[in-house]
Amino acid sequence: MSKPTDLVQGTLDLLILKTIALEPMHGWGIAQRIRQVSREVLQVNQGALYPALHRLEQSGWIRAKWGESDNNRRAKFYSLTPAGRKYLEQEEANWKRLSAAIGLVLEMS
Amino acid sequence: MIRWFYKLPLRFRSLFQKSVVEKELTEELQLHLDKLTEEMRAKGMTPEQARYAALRELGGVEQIKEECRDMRRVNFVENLVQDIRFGFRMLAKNPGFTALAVFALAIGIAVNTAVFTAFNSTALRPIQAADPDRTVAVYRSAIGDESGGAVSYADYLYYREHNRSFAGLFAASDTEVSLSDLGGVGGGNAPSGGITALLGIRFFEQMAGTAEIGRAAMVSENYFSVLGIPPFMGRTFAAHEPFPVVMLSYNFWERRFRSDPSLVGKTLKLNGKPFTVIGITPKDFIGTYPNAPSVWLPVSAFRLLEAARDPLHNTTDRCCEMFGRLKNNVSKQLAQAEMTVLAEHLRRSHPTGSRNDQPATISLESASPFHTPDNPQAIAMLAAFMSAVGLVLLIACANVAGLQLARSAARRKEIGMRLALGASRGRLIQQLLTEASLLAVTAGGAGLVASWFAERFLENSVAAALPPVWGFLAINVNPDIRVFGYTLVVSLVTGILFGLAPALETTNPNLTSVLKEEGAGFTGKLRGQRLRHFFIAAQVAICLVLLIAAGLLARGSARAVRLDPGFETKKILALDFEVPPGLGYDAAKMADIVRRMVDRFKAVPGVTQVAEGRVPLGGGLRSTKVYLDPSARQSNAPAPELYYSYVSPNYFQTLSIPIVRGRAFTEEEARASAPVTVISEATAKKLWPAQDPIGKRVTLDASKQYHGSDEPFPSGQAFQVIGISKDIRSAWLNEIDPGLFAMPLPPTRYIETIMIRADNDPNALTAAIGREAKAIDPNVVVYAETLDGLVTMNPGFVISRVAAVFSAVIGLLGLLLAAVGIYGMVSYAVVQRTHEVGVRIALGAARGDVMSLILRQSARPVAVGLLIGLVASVAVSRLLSSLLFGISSLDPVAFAGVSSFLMFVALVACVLPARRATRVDPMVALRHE
Repeated sequence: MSKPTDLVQGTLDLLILKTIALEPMHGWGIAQRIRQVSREVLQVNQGALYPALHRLEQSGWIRAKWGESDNNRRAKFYSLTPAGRKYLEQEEANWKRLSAAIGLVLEMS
Repeated sequence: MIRWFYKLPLRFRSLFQKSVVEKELTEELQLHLDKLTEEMRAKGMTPEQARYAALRELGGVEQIKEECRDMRRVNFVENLVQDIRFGFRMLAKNPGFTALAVFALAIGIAVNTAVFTAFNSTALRPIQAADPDRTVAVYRSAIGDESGGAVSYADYLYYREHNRSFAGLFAASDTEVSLSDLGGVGGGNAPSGGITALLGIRFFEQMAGTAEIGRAAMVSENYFSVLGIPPFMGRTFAAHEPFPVVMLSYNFWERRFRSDPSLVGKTLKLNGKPFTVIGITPKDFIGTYPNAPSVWLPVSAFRLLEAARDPLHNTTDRCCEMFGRLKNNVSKQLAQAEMTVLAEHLRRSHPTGSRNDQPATISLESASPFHTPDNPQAIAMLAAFMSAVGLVLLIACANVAGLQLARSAARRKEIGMRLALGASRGRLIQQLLTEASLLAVTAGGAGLVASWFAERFLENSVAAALPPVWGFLAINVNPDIRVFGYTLVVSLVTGILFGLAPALETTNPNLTSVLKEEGAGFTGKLRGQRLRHFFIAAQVAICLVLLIAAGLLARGSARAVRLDPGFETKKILALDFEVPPGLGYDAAKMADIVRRMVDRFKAVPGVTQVAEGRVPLGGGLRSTKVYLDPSARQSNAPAPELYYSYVSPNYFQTLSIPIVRGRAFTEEEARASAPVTVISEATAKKLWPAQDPIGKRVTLDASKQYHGSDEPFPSGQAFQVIGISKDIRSAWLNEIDPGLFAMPLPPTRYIETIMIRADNDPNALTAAIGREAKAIDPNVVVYAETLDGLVTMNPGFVISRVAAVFSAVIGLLGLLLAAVGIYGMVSYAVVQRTHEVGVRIALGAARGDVMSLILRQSARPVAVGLLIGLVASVAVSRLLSSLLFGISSLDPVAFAGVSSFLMFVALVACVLPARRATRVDPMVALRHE
């Protein structure tokens, strides 16, 4: 297995949004989930995760609620706001268009 | 947008519940850390190793926290709050500096705010109407017609009936009326106090009991209904008033009747005709006039008030200005077009050759009484005023910048340290500018309050001093949102102006030089020093010129009051008659009234003499051409012009003017209008040097000179000199009359002033005199003033006193600003030379030596300024010599007194900061390295 890829700036937002689209999650959980789902390819820089979460919260895409984590500790759970859900769809579509385009370019040449 | 629903509470939380947010952040990161540690332990590490590994994995917790805080995006606001707090602390730490800077800036901001307020409360004032935007003035303009857009009443009625553009069209005119039988409280003017008392200037006071003259606004009956202004009390005019009615302005009602509410329904006499009071207009309501009149009357009242004029039927009397309220769906252009068509219709109905026969256009303008339609002069004047006060603010800014520079030089170490520790230059500039703006806004608040008080004081005193016939001042100088906005913007700009240069200089990233305590060497050659010194010298010079002028004028006007004008002033009461135009009295009738009054006054106990004639120093002295050779009159040869005055025979006796040779005229000569004259000594010297003038004949001709229409004047007769009187000052207080002929007043003519000599205090006579005057004719308005008081109304005195006060105020404010500048300059020098002073003291210099070193160098620009100012003052004071009443224009008291005062102030401004240099501890100063 090669070295985990550094996340491209901007894609972290998309990953976070997608991850919490299913259910509210806390920071640790989000980091774990991204790692698992990407089969350990994407290693979230843990230091960068929290500023990103705070930025998304301040932008109104996600909101935070305090709840109980698996071992009865207080934890901050993030979930999508309606505006965030719309934003995610948009970004997803953008991403797909972009990666399709890049794929095309790579195949052609 | 829905996102705001989530964003706003977060922002508020971050700002105001900072500790909670911080705690949550810590908790959140702790959880992550614990989970990481758990994971590491699961991999088989010891607890200690696991913890370190987790910390490594996560990265610096504090950095993450700081990044999260940045993400909250309230940093800017937080910084600002922090800066403001810090700024307040810094300002409070240096109360002396703060007070000086706030004071200097407040002066600059106050004068700017004052000028803007004046502009705001006049030129920017909308008309008082329910719908000011649709209320317009309707101007008729024709080629070669300079009558200011007025129309005749008949034309107004035509426009009113035929137009379809206006919801209402009204007419406005004005006149003076005499009000009598007012009864009630107190006479004419309220006691004039405030600024006029301060200046020592008095105004003629109307006598209690006699008629009062007032300003009457003559308006069409729909005036108030079209403007949409309800009355303060009672009702406004109805369409057809069957009886004569009048409304009072609130201001007149308040001043004259002490707001007596029972006045509505009562009767007042205007020009002798009874009118019923139906209502009071709102306070300060001026409508389409520049100030509030005493009374409001329907135009139809002209018939009763001025029967001879009859502007309602006379189509050549363009009495009225038109105003109207546009209908909601009509544009100005449309209304203008329609009215122009109507004007063309009207033109054909007027007889050809009349003034109304010119093609005219109608334009709609702002209905505000202060509206000056595109007047380039008004704009130029405003610009001149604005740049003058702007300059004052700039001077204040420059001086405070000097002060700020001194202070920030003292803070260079602190700032250098912050830069070295990694604070960005932008962040430091932001902080320094915040401090400067804090100062400026504080000064702005103080300036706003100061200018408000000053203008209120000025307005109140001017309003109290104005005679009612000029109308009541109703200018509102209370600051409104525009004034607040203006002051705030000016303050912030000021803060940036004086704060930016020092902020840029002290945050100069040239770190090494800062930490090395940049060469404040022994050379004394400091950057920008020459410019600062020049600036200080210029200010000192200008202040000195202003203050010396003020000193000279103040001494001159003080001298004027004590000056002997050559006639009795203490015991004489001067009366001034005024006849309202509507009464239609001719000269013969007035002469008769005056004669009868004179006879009645002579019988009043306490009166010793009553003389007729123009009151000396009362103004209005006329001049005539003088010919020694009667034939020279035809040849148009140049002739000297000297004063003349028609007086009753007892004039000289009444005023105690001695006849030095010959005699005064007799009653018989007066009755016969004999061609005799009494001349003054100066006249005799001028016309017949080295000859005896008694018996000589002189031809006087004033027919081409200015004189009133009903007055007696010499028109080419020869007069025989029968006496010589002592010289007096009757035209100007500052000079003896260069020539004066007194002639007997003919029985059919009158002069509108008389002089009453009392055996004691003339002021005690006014009540009795007023009663007698009213008994003869209640419609004649009488003003009374003692001759003593008249001295203070003489233009020479007024000009010199007012000029003295104004130049003193400006000079003192300037001096205060200059003192701040000097203080700043010396402080800066002291701070920069701390090290040098330390060395000197360590090497054995006495504290006194250090002090005198600093003072010597700081005093140089002040001394240069004083020298230049003195030279300039000599030149300026020569221009003032006519206003000094005999005081030398090089008066040593004014010159020496003012210069030493200024030197003292400058010295204090130097010594205060210079003392700091002597307190330098050499050890501390040397350890600076």
